Order: sequence, then structure tokens, then C-alpha cells
Amino acid sequence: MVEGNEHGCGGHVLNKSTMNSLTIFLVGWFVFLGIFPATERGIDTDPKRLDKEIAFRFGNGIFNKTVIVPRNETLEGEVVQGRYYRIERHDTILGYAYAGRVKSCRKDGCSIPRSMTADETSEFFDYFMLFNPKLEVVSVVVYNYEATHGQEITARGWLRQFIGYNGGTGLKVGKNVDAISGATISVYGIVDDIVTKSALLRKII
Amino acid sequence: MKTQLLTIIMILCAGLVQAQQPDTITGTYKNTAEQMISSSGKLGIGGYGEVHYNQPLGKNQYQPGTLDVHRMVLFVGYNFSSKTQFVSEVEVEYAKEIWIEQAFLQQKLHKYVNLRAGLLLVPMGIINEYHEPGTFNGVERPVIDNKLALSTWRDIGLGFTGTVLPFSLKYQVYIMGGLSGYDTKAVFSADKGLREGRQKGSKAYVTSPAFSGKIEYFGLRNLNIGLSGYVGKSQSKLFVKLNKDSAELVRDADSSVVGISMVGVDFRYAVKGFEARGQFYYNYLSNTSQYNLFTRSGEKNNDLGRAMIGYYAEVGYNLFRLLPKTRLELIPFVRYEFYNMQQSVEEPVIRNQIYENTMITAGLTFKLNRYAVFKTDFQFYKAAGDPSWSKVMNMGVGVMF
Repeated sequence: MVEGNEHGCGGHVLNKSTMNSLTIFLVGWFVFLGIFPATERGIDTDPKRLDKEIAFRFGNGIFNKTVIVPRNETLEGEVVQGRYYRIERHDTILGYAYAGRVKSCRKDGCSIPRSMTADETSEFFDYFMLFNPKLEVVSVVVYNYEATHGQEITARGWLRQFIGYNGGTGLKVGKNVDAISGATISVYGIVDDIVTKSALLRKII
Repeated sequence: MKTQLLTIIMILCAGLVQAQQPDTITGTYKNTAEQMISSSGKLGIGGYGEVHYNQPLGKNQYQPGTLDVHRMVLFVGYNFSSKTQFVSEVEVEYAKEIWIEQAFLQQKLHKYVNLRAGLLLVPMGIINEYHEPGTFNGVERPVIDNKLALSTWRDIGLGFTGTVLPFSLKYQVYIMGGLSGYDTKAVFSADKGLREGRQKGSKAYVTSPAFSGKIEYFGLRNLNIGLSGYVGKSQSKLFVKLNKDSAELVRDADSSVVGISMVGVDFRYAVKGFEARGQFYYNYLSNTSQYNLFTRSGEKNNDLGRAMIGYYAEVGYNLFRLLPKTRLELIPFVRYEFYNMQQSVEEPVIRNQIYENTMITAGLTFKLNRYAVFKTDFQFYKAAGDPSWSKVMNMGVGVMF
């Protein structure tokens, strides 16, 4: 038999006050879900971030963004999950941009190939790329990340390695693109998308 | 009151209107196989597996090796909608024990907030969350993750997780059931630590909930830093049907409980084929004095430590990075680990050097592709009082899909 007790009341079953707090908490959350139902948010293919980055890379001053390929258009037999823009200032082409979504999947849940426009996924991220008039990549920015893992690809320093990419199969994960342990799906996802969307741009210009 | 009601109705209507999305799918798809798979990509199947061969190397004694299908895990997930998903993992350990590693429902409330409820992985340590064989070097998981972060540690609970992109932070915070500390006899000891207390979501009993959380920062290129914490009291079967008025029995029950606080820091860094990772863990237990006296067997007190500490540092390099044509990777690595299950003790426990261990692992990871690996390594380990190092050789195969 041991003396004394450091714990005060010690461990005990979820008592009445805890149960009450928990009930209020759960009711509150369901009310919250009721007021803000799970609405379908489309891809924001014209984020404010894009304008800021255009100003940063192409100089301050007015510019014109023209959509040259709208979202969900079919190009070369593939539906494009984003938009292409042409960026101009006073009749000079400053460059081009692509903004779109990459559908990812949960790690160790990727075996069954997913249809590219299956909206029924909560694993995705949205990014944009800027190209100069020579169609070289000058910037890659991930502006929305909602997948469960792989968020390390959003680091600006990591995305810097795509600057200068000018098409072709020059991007190899583990060779000239740093791999990220635990983020394999997102790494390959964004590299594949950068390669395909750059190639598509070359076909439509 | 009327304005509030009106506002709520307007918000609900706005929500409903937004929920109507025009059908924007215009194209056809090249890959018809994709369409044959069930229900437009809602079901996800995957998994991983590891087969191990562990061979202790001794001079004077015969030492049999162990051949083991250490684990096979099947992942089944279902996306009910773009906001609601179910995630589950079924594990078969040692080719015969079946456990559920994860089984939870996740609801996206906001782009930075997801609600999770069910059997969740406790967010302590790198391995608990990233335990697929292709994601770590060495056949066996680091011993720190086993002894202090209790991998694979999972419990039933509820909480939130999300990635807050503007701050480059990912967070997880949960309330969950706790570790069992007393079940007709002591569950904890210096040798086993808290590991046997894992209830794994199997008819788990709860007498007091625990809280656990983790924050990861990923703003710096190629670096992921994590900070984890866990706090809670251990559970005790002595509270079952315990009358709150029986003072003596309540005191006994209290003596069979320890307070658990854990904190962990981890980092993973990888650049140009070079990878490094490290972890530091500290567990602090309160009330161990009473616990050890109460759970004595005969004349011998229990020896659970008041504080446990563990850390490791590992480096590796992909030699095949320099070969442009191949997807294969060959990664030699070395890892140094130290842990002490009795970093500090409370009376009447006397520290025993047998619980202060150093382990050095050196080996090769050979990746056939992103998801299939061959591994081999040598491990040298020694308790503080040992005159010489014990050695074990390991070989293993790991896949994920």
C-alpha cells in the first residue's frame, strides 16, 4: 500500500463535465458543417499570386493577360486541367503562363490509375509556371496545396531547380531534380506536369 | 434574432448555389483502362510489404537467424467526394497477426483544415508516419522509433490536420485514447518502456484521454523539420467499476498510473543525392516511484525510469546519381543511435547500465525503382556495461505499390 498521491483525483472515466464539453463541441461542429456545407471549389486558375509573380519576373507596369487555352479544353487528346495565358505589355509579348491542378493520390493508395478529371479526389495541388518568349521556364510556384503528404515540393528553393527548363526529357528525379523522401508522389506529379504542359505549350504557340 | 436567422439562411443558400458545378468535362481519354476501374477513381488500393532475414553473429554460441515476413500492409481508401475520404490500412505482422493500422474518416472543412476521426497514427516520430520500406534506410526501423516513439503507434481519436501553405507549416493535433499502464499487473518497465501499453484500437479501454500533436516546417529547400508532442496519463484497469468513495482503492488505482509527456524533434534533409536525417526523443514520466513500488513482484520493485532519452543521426548518398541513364539507386548509409531507458530514475529504482545502449548501423539500400528495394546492413550494438559489441547482419526486401 503506498502513501500519498501526487495526482489529485487521478485517472478517471470521462466525467460528466467532460462529456458535456464534448457534446457541445460535437454539436458545434455539426452546426458549423451545416452552415458551411462542403461546397465544390473549382480550381482558381487566376490567382492573385500569379499577377504578383508576373510583376516580379517581368517588371512592374501594366500587362495584359489573355487566356489562350481555357480550362478543360482538349489538346492532343488530353483534357487540360488548367489555363494557358499569353502575357503582353503594349504589343510586346512578355511571356506565357500555365496555371492548373495536379491530381495526386494518397501515398500507398495509388495503384488504381485514376481518371485525370475525376473530381472525386481531395488529394491535389495547384501551381503555375511562367515562361519567357523563348518558352523557357522562369518561375514555378505552388499556390495551393491540399494533399495529405508531399508538401515539401512547395518550398521556393526546391522549385528553383526548374528555372531554365526548356522542354524535352531533361528533368530526371534523382538526377538533376532532387528527390524528396516521403514526397515521391508529389515530386513525380509536378515534374510530369511541368514536362507535359511545357510540351503542350510548344505545340500551341 | 431575425437578422441572424436571415443571415444563416442566406449563407446556406450561397453554399447550395456554389455546390452546383457545371459539367465541364469535354474530352475523351486515351487510356480506356482507367475507365474500366470501378466508380470513376474513388477507390484507392495500395500497400507495402517487408520480408526480413536477421542473423546475429556470435563467436562462441550458435545463433539461429530469423526469417520473417515482418509485415504486409494493404491500404484501402475511398473518396466519397472531393471533401470526404476514408483511409484504412490492414496489416499482417509476422505472417500471422492481423492488425488495423489506420481506419479513419477525413472531412475537408477548409483548405487548411481537415477533420479526422477514427484509428489514427500518433504523430510522433518520422517512422510512425513514413514507414514504407522505400522511405528509410536499414532493414529494421531505427530502434529509437521502436522504443520511444512506439512505432507503429496508433490510437482511436479525433482531431485536425492541414497544410498552411503561406507559412509552410503542416500540423496535426488529436485527442485520443491512451496507453494502458496496468492490466492485472504492470505493463511498463525499463526493458519494454511504454511499448506494451499500446492498445492498437483493439477493445481499448480509456480512463483518461491523451493529446498529441505535430508541426512540420518545410519552407526551406530540401529540409523538413518536425516537432511532436504527446501528453496524457496511462490507463489502468483498476479504475474499472471502482467506487469513487473507496479512498484506499482509489489510492491504489492512482498508484498504477503514470503521467506521460513526450517531446520529439526530427529532421530530414536531402540534396543532390545526399540524404541526412535525425531524431531526438525525450519521454518524461511522473509518479514512477509509486508505480514501481505498487507493481513490485514479491520483493523486487519494478524499474520503470522517470525519463527516457533517445536520438539518432544518419547520412547516406546515392552513388548511382552520377550515372545519368539508370533509374537504379545504390545508397550506402551509416546511422548512429543512442538511447537510455533510465536516463533518470526515481527512488527506489537504481539505474542499470543494461538500459543504456548504443547502436551503429551501416549498410546498403539498393532501389530497383521508387517503390522496390533490396536492403542489407550490419548492426553493432552495445549496452554501457558490455565488454564488447554484439553484431547482427540483416537483409531484406521491401515493396510499396
